[in-house]
Amino acid sequence: MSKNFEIKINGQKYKASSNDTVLDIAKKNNLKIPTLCYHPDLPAGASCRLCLVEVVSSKKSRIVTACSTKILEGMEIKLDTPRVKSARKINLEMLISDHVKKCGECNWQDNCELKELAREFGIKDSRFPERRRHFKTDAKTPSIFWDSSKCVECGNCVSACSQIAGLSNIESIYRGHSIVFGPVGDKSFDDTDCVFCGQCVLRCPSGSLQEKSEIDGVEKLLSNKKNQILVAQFAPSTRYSIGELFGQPPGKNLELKLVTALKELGFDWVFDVNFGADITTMEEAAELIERLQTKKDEPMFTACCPAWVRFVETFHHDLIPNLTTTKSPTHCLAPAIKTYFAKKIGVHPGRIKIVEIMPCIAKKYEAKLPEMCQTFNPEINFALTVREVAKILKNKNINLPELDDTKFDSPLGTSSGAATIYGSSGGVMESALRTVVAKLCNSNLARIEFREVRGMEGIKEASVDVDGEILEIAVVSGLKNAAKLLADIKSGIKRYNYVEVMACPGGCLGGGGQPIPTTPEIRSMRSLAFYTDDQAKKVRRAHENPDIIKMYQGLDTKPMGPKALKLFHRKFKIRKPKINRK
Amino acid sequence: MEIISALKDVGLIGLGGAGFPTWQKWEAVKNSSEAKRFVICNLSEGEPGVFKDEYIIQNHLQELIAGIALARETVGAGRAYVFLNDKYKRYLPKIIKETKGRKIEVFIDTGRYLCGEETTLLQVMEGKLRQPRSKPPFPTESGMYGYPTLINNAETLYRAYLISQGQMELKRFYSLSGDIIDHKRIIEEKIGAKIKEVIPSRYLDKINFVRVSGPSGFFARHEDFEQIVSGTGAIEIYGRNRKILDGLIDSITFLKNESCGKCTPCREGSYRIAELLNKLIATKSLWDRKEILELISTIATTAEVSSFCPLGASINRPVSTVVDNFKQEILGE
Repeated sequence: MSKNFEIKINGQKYKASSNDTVLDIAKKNNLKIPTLCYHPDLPAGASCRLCLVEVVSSKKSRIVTACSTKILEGMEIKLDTPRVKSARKINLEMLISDHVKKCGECNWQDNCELKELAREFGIKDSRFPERRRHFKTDAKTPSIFWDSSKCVECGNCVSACSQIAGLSNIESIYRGHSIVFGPVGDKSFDDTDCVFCGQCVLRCPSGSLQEKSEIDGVEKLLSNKKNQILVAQFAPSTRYSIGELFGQPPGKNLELKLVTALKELGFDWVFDVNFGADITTMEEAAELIERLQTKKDEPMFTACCPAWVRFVETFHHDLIPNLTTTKSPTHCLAPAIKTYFAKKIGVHPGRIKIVEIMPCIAKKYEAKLPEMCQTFNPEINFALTVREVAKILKNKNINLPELDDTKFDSPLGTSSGAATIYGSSGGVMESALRTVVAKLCNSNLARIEFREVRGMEGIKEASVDVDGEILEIAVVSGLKNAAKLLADIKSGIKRYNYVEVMACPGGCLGGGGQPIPTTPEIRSMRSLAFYTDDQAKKVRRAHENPDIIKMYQGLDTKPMGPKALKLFHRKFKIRKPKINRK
Repeated sequence: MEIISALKDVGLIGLGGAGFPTWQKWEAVKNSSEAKRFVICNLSEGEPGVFKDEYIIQNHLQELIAGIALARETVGAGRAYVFLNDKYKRYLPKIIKETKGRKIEVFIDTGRYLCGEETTLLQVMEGKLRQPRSKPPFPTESGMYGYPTLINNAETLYRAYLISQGQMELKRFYSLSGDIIDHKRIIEEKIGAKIKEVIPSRYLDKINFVRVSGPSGFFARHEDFEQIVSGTGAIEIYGRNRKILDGLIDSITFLKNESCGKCTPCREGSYRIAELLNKLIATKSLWDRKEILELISTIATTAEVSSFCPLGASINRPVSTVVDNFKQEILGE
C-alpha cells in the first residue's frame, strides 16, 4: 500500500508517494539528477553511483543513490551539495577514463550521456590515465558487435538479457576490479544462445554493444552501381521513429520524406514493407483459416519476428510445427519485387539489389539465413537499422525533416491500414483478424478494430467471436513473457488458437534497431501514431488493397497457392542450445 | 533467564567486524511474521590477520555448535547452516561429527573477503552473482530465498552460548600476527580493549606501527595505542624497518583484489588509489607528492560516501588514518 505525503527537495515542498524513488520525484518535477546506468525498463542496478543526492532523514544526513532510494515520510533531499558534487565528479572521472573513446563509430555519438555529463561537470582533462582493462571485439554473428574496451561495467546488458529476454547470454567476465561484461564464457555471441533481439544494445550507455554495421557495404553499393537496380524498402515502424534522430518527437510519420532521402542517396526504387505486410496478412490469414478447419498444430504462432523464431528453434523444438510458415513482411516483399515487379519492368531479378531498413538487429541475421535464400540468393542484400540509415543520411548532410515529400513507387507502395499497425504489439494479430473475420463472416461489415489486443502490456488475451465460433487469442511482447506463456500452454493451463509473439517490448516499435533511447513513454508515443494513421486510411483490410489483388493476379496465384508457397513461405531449422542450462 | 534479554544485558555485539548489537538481530528474526526462517553461522573468515574463527574450531567446536543450535531454537529456524571457508575444509569431518542430528548443514565456499558482507554471502548461497544486494531489506527481514535469516559470525555464536551458560564477562579473541611474532597468537581479552592492553609489553619497542582490524581497518603508531581494537579484533605488527606506505599498499591492494566490481567508487577507486600510491613512492617533488596524496584522499572519501556496500565504504578507513596521522612521515620521506 502506498502512502502519500510531502517531502522537501532543496527546501521546496513536493508531493510524493511511498512507492516512488527519489529519482522518480525529481523526474516528475523536472529536477535534474545526472544518471548513467539508470534505465526505466530495468530494476535499478545502482552501480554507476552518479545519481547521488544527500538525504536528511530522522536528523541523520547521508549520501544515497536517487535511483534506488525509496521516499520516506519526513525526508529532506538536497540535490547539489558540495559533498555530492565532489563524489559525483570523481566517479564520473573514473568511469570516463575507463571508457576507450571510439566516438566515431558509436551509436551514441550524437547524444552521448558520458560526453554530456563530462560537459556538465566541467571535466576538462581527466586526472587519471586511460585504463584499458580488456580488449576484445566480437563481430562473429551477423547482428551484434561487442567491444569490451568501451564497457563501463554498469551491468545493464545482463539485466536486459535476463529481465526482458528471459535469457542469460551475457555475464560478467572476470571479477573484481577487472570486471567487464560480455557474452558468456568470454567467447563470442555466436557461442551463446543469443536470439539477437538487441534489447541489451538499446540499454548499453557506453556503446560497448552495438549492431554490426553494414553501412560500408551499402555505401559501396551506392557508389559502385554499374547496371544494378537498387531498391530500398523500409519497415512499418521505422517511419515513426527515424525523426527522433533528427530532433523530431517520437511518432512523427516521415515516410514520404524518407522516400525522398533514399532517392537522393541513389536508390532507383523505394518500396514500402507495408505492402509486404499485406502479403503476410493474406498468407497468414489463409493459413489460419486452414488450421482452424483442420485443428492441426494449434495454437498457430506468428513468425514475423526473427528473434522469436530463433527462440523457438533453439528452445522449443516441439513447437516448430506451430509456427506459421508465412515469411515476415520484408521477406514477402523482396520476392514480390524480384518476380512480379522485375517482370513488369522487364529486368532480370539478378540485377536487383535490395536494402531493407528495419527497426531490428535480428533482421540482419534473418537476411542471411539459408532458409530465406532458397528462391533468390540472397533475397535481401543488406539490412540496416534505423540508426544506421540516419548515420548515412547525416554523412551526406541530408536533413530529413527539411526534405520535400515523394510518394512511394508503384506498384508495391500502397498498403492498407492493417499494414500500418504491424510494428506495434498486437498489430499482426489485428491485421490477420480483420481479414479472417471478414472472410469467415462473408461480410464487409465485420469488425475492423480489435482494441483488446492493443496496448503496451506484455501479455494480452482475448476471445473473438468469428461467425458464432470463439477464437481464443493471445498477444505477447518480450521473450520473458513468451516463455511464461509457453509454459502455461505446455502445461495445459491455457489454450489458444492463435498467438502473436514479438521479442521486443511493445513489438517492433521497441526493437533493437530503433533510435536510442527507447523508454516506455517513447514507445507509447510511437504506438499512438500507428493507430491514428490506421484510422485515417480508406482501405483498412489487407485483402481489400487493390494493388495486392493485382499482384496475386499478376503472379497467377492465390494465398497458399503453389507459387505463393514458394515465394512467401519458409522452412525452419532445429538448433541446439549452446549454453548448458539447468 | 531468557537468552535474548541476557544478550542485551551483557551487550554482546557482532564480532565479525561490523559490531551490530546481537540481540537486535535475534529478536528481529524471532518476531518475524514469516514462519520459515534460517540461521547462518558465518565462518568465511578470509582476510589477512584474522584467525580467531579457526581457533574456535580447533579449541571450542562443541560450544560453537551449541551456540548455533541455541540460535536456531531461539529464533525458531527450521535449519541452520555453517558457511565454511574452503581453506578450513580439513576440519569438515570434525564439524560434521559435531553437527549430526542438530539440523545444521555445512556450506563450503572459497570464502573471499566479500562474504563477510551478509548479503553477498546470501547471494553465494543462493547460487547468484557474487555481489552485494541493496539494504534494506535487511537479511533479518528478507534473507536467504527471501526468508528472515539470522547471520552471525562464529565467535558471536560461541560467545552467545557462553552467555547462556551464565558467563557474564564479555571477552573476545584478538588475533595477533606480523613481523616480529614467530607464531600467530590468539589473545583473549575483554571486548573493547585498547591496543596496548592486547599487545604483550615485550613486543612494544620493536613496533613501528600496527594495522588494526585488517585491510579495512586503521593504522596506529605508539601514540595511538590508547585506541580501542574494534572490528575483527586483528592486530598486525609492522616492525621498525617498515614504512607506512607499505602498510597502506597492503591494505589497498587487498581491497582492490577483493572488490566485487559492482560499483564505480570501489571498483575504480581502489584501482586508482593503488596506482597513485605507486606513483607517490616514485615521485620526488614535494609539491607533486602533496597533490597525489590529496587526490588519494578525495577518491577514498568518495568511496566512503558513495559505495554500494560497507566494504567499498571501508576503503577510506586505512587511507584517512594514514593521511591524518602519517602525513609528516609520507611527505617528509
